[in-house]
Amino acid sequence: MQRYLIKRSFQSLIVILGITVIVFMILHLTGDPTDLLLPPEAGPEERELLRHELGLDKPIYVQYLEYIKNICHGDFGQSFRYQTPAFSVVMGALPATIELTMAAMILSIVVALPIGIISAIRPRSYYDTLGMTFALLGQSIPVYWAGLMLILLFAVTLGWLPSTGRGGIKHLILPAVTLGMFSTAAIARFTRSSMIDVLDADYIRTARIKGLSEHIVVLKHAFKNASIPVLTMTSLQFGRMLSGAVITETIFSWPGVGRIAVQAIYNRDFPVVQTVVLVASVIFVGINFMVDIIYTYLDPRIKYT
Amino acid sequence: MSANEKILEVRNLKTYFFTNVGVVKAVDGGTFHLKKGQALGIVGESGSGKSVTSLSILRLVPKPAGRIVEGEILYRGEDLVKKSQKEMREYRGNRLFMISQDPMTSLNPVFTIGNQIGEAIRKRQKLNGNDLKEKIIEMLKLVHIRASETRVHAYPHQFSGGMKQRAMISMALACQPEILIADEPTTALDVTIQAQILKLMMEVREQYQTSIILITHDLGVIARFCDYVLVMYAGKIVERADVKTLFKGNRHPYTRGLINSLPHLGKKQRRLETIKGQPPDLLNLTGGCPFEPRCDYSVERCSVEYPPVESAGKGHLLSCWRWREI
Amino acid sequence: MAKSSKLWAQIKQAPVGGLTILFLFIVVALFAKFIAPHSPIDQDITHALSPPFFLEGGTWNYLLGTDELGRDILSRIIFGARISLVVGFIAVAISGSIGVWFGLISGYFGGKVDSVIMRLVDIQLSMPYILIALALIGALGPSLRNIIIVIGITSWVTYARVARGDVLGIKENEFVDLAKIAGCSTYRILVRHIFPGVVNSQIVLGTLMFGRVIIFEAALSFLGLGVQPPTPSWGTMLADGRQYLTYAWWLATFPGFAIMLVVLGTNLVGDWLRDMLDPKQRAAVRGKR
Repeated sequence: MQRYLIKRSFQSLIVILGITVIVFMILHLTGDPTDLLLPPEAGPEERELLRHELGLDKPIYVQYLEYIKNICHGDFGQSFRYQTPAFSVVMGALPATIELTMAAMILSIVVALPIGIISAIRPRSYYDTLGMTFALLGQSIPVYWAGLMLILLFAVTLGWLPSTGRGGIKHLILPAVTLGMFSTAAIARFTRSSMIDVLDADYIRTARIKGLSEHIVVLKHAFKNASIPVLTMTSLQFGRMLSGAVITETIFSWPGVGRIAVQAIYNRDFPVVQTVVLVASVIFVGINFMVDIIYTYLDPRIKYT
Repeated sequence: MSANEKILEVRNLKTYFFTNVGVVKAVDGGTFHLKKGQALGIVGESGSGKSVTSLSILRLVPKPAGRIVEGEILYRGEDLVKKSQKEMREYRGNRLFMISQDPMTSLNPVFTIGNQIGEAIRKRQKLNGNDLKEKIIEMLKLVHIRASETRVHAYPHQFSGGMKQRAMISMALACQPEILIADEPTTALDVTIQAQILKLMMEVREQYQTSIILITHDLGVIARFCDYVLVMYAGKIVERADVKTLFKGNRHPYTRGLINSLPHLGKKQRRLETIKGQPPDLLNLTGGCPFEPRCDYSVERCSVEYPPVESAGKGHLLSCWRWREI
Repeated sequence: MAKSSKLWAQIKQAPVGGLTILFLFIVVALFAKFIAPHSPIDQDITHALSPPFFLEGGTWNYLLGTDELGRDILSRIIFGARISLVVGFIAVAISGSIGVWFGLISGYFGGKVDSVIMRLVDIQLSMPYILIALALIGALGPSLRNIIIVIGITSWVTYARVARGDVLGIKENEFVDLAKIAGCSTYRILVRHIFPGVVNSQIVLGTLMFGRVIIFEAALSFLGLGVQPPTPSWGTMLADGRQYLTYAWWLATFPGFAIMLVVLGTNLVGDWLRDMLDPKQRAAVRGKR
């Protein structure tokens, strides 16, 4: 186990390094930030001076190595736009994003698991048809449209819920539902199919032969087995959610990292974009790492070496 | 309680599967009974309806395709077909238990052996903590699993095939059922292990007066273990007799074919006989005898009309138009 | 006999609704010029923000109403279908052909090559792809070609993972060893012996991804870095309509509905194809370890 943890940490580190390379390369294709920082009438000497100040005149690999060195010292660069450290800009917005994604994730799981399990117990029943129709729709509705339609219904027409900004629980409902919709549908469908597979297994029959009650058969014997693929699936949904948050935050003017990132891309604010992508990726890698450890508790057959 | 008491009586059981491509009559009119302490064998090729018969008794026919469409299954006079799934739970585990074909897949991989045996014990006795653990260890010892104190905490993948089947039998012992159904309990195991498992089941039968239904395609096992035998073909019971009559005085061509395909010890044989042809396609059965295309004795009538059940002696029933001539 | 009747039973289960949606979508996109009642770009300020026909003030002339510049929404949706079709089709082709090759190579060679490719996959999966796509388009400039390229190169990983999983299974077959013994070149083994085994699951995946790509393209347009005005694209229409949500809801509602319908169609057809061609694919999703 320990050896596995070390190996796995090493892999995660490589992945994160790879991400820094890609992000760094993409953003240096983006164009010259001095265009944004200087007034249009600035002369070429002024421009050269600023480029030199920012280190943009050095070879690209030197710039990259310096970037990595600085990151190791906790320096993610200055935001061109806000003139403050990019890291603190991102960290300032991170709690809002975490609040939103956690709410959406919890909502998805709480709604999706019962739908998936009940549908699996009674395949082709009225309940199953209804649940799976909604799940199919949920997987087909684009996030941005779902957000707009929810605003139209609950904020504009009914006036029950606010459509923008962050505040109490009321502000959280619409964005969380919007962001969680796809994952709810995906997890519900996946739970159903995993449960149906598992319910076919011989050991489920054994449990029934023992005369165990149906809810022990389903919730103990079947669900623990089905939860293993469902967990894999759910952890991948986190990655999708970080992307979905970008759109959701834009629609609902939610003050999170997604919205900051979109603005930073418009403004070519390199350091902020780099930091957002890096922070988001590290979080995702971290979640996957934890999920791998949770597996060992769920499935005794897994032995990491 | 008399020794001859019928504890299970199955009458005209019909279990069909309704699939996309047609109706499969997996069991089509099964009638038989089981006495206290008796060991009943059911033989037949795969797909002949042996396993579906046993699943029907437990009311665990795979839904939604499979359904018992007709018949009665009387357990001590109570018709199990009429019971709800909830009521059936009182019978399963307590009075009926089944050991299924593949010990590799019949234990839940994510729970310990002890946990799974414990569930069976708690069905009868509300034990907890150390009492429960001691009882589980006792059960494992009964089926000769060594180092049972540590094996309680093992997971199925840490057990060998034979040990898993022993664990299944210990579950059966924990339940102390009146009827133990064993569906090809040794097929997936090594030959040497097979003998041990069968011996263990004989011990169980003698010690607890358990009635056993043994499903197999291995006539050798039947000969050693069973008192009475049903031969199934394409969902129908084609011949039934006590074990001696079946081997020495069988009258059905299919039974004869099965027995002739056994190697005889001590007899000189040039080659093993086999039954020609393919097993029947259950989706496309005609009204006649399904064995007709493979039968050496078939006459015109055989392909048109299914033969009635006739008696050929005490407790010896069979369905064949030409049994008198065989 | 039994096998062909089984196939027939599966064909009979075809999702008529899904196939109809996709068929109509393709026909509308191909013949937009002949179907659309109005020009998608001609402005007519006198008829700006006219509501759909079933509301008060709506006319049959503009069935689904007009936008803030008086352009017919229905015609814009009809022309927008072209963008979605083109982007969906080409991006799936690009990402599929990149992905399948990486998958074949990774699965067939194993070892170091496999580790490197799988780390690349991990890297790509860990990054918020929408930000990467936005940044890339920001760098290359928002044009239809660039959008297709960016979507193509950011969504190859799924194909690669599925193909790799398939190859690991196929590689164990004897015919692969026989081909090696017979002296077939590696390229030939991959193309002639292994590729046919991965085609089915790739077709299924491509169908499902087609819908995702359409959503993705519209998302980029929605965020302002997609297809540029005045070219009608469903995503751009949504983004414009967003500003008028409070008093002209039809601007954002109908294009979104169009996206949902098409994606629903591909999902229905994709699920059916999966059940028919590739019942094992669900296992590939969970085959993380």
